[in-house]
Amino acid sequence: MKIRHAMKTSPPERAHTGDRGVRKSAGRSGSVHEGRLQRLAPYVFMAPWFVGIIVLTLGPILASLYLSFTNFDLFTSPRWAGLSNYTHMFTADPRYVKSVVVTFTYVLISVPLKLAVALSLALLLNRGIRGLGLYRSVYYLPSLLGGSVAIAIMWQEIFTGDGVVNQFLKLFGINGPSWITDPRYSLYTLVILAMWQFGSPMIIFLAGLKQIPAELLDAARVDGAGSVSCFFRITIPLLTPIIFFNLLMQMVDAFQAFTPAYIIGNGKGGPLDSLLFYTLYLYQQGFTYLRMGYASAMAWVLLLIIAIFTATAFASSKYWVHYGEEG
Amino acid sequence: MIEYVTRRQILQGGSVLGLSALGLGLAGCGGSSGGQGKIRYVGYVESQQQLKATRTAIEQYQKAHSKVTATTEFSDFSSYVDKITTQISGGNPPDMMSANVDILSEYAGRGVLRELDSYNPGQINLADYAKGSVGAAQFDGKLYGIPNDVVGPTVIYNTDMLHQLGLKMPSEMCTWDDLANTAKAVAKAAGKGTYGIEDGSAAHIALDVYLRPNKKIFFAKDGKLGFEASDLIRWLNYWKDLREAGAIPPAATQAQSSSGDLSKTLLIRNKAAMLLQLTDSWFGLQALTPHKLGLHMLPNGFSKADLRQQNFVYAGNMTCISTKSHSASDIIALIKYLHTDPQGSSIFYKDTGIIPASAEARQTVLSSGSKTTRTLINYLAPLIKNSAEPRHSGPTEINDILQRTSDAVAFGRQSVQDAATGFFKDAAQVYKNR
Repeated sequence: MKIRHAMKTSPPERAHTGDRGVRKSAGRSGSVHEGRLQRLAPYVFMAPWFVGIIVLTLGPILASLYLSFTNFDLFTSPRWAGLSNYTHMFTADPRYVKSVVVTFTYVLISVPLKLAVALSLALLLNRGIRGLGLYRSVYYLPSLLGGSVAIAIMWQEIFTGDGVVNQFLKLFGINGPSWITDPRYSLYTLVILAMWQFGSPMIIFLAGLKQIPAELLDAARVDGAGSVSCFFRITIPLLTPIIFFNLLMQMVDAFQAFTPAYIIGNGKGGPLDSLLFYTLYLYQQGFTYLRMGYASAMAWVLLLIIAIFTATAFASSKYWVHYGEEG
Repeated sequence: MIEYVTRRQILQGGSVLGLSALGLGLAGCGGSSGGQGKIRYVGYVESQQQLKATRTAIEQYQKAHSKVTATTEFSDFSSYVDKITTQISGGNPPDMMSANVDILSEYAGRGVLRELDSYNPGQINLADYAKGSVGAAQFDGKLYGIPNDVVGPTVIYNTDMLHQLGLKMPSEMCTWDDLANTAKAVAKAAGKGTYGIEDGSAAHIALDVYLRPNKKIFFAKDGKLGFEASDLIRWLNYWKDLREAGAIPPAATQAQSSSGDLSKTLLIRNKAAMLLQLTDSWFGLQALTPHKLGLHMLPNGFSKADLRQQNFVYAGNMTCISTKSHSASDIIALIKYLHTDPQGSSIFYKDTGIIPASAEARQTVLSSGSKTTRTLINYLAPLIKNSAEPRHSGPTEINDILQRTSDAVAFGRQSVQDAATGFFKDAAQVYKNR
């Protein structure tokens, strides 16, 4: 049985084991070569990641920045257009403005409501009830399914003119509107869908609640604080880093909402563009109307909008987020 | 035998694997057109029957032609548009692809589609194809597709509902007022919640027929708008009048019906007696309802004295070949088998609701097809013989603008006058951006 232990044998050892001259020089050269290989090793193993980040992420990002200054129809070469895509967006495209209004409305309403629902349920589940694991899983399920096409189709069926909601309202003699196709209500059905996907922030809130020292609450109760005082003076302040984290994540997520609007609005933005979300309009410009240059410019403006909102949230955080080390 | 591997070998092996993977990845980029005999066919179908028939016919062809290998990817029209755009723009066009009038002009103008005049007449002969269908396959005077079918705009109506209400459709050569009066009569006789006709104010093909008696057209030959604000105002007022009379549904109810899902139309849900559609939807609609559906021409004018044929036929589905494909000749042979071979055409068209553009194939289908298919062929026959000028292609965005214009009036957000002005303003922007 021949067993090779080359990896365990150091180069100097090998240099002393036979024809000195030849072996020594071969060993030195081998040593230099192997040393190089060793230095290269981490890069070779990281190469797939580098290829991924450069080819699949950085490349397209930089390409889209260039394309945002061109007229590009996907089939013929891009033509330089300077800032015209950006100026058109803000001065000559009322649908763009509409898409911003729809998206801001959605973000400003859905994110606080979703966080409120998630926190309420996390508080309910933080009471040491039996079968807690099961409840957590059940409440988390909608988040797993929420962004899917199937759920959007189900939502459409529930809120359509003769859907489940209106059948239920009929029991009380109420003739409900067509929630999905009436521009007065359609956006709010998507807000309800977003609220229903509370699972992810709920789990994070639950983890945060578990970190609050029980002795603080006990001490407050001994001092005569009621449940409401405990909640607003102890739980909420100690939970603010978690609230801040959830707020950021949900806000970024809401700005990028696409699937439900695409499915429920038939991919066109719904009646009177009431479901014309920013990302949907971007997609429409790029792939339906073949204006990839304009769509790229929209993508960069969206990045800027999200960056501004995130920076504002960070700037405001010093006034309302309390970290432990502040004492 | 156990053999330990050195670090060097691991590193060398890793480098080789990494480079191979990179090479494979790069090799995967670029056009995917197969060599001769290899055909990748991406298309859209209108129904399950059509999907099954198309696949069966292609399988039969491959059995008889062992050198041809065809892989197929089919979807419904709305998914198809996204899919084909992504594939073509990603440099991965299929060899053979479906197109309607709008897609054909969009892609032919950008050099994506192969010009096919050199194959006709020769390997394929379109002499007996419906003229309107062949015209639809042309862009800038050149042939870029082989038309699979012949379609036309039509009024699809529920014969049972009309019979129960004691009403009849107007005569085939009728005016737009006749159609409106029938719709109003249905709504009046049926009571609240049932409508005479579905709102057609956003249907650009119906508007095209409406414009013809006044020597106007929706898209002119050059793809520009062939009508004016006053024409659109008349059209929007026509539907507004019907809405106010309760003969068409309110906007929110209509929006549910217009989702693109035929099963959600008010016609199928027995809440409207008539629907403006294309003939190729009739087969699918009939399969969704126990009620007998009839076909009626769109009105041909505004006064009895001046009625002339304004309905037209064209191709709703054409097969095109990518400029990158190396299998053009094989594809033409396959299309010929599907369209005109007695065995191929009888499988490809039989009871799919798709009526062949070729007269010879129509004859085959007429003799072997079901009663529903025969009804459809008989309805189209006089139109094929005496078709008005077929519709021309234009920017698809204009059709979406018409939908938004129609919604603005129907939901009461804009007056007819303002909506019409807005339509032309938005359309002008589209042409400016092209």
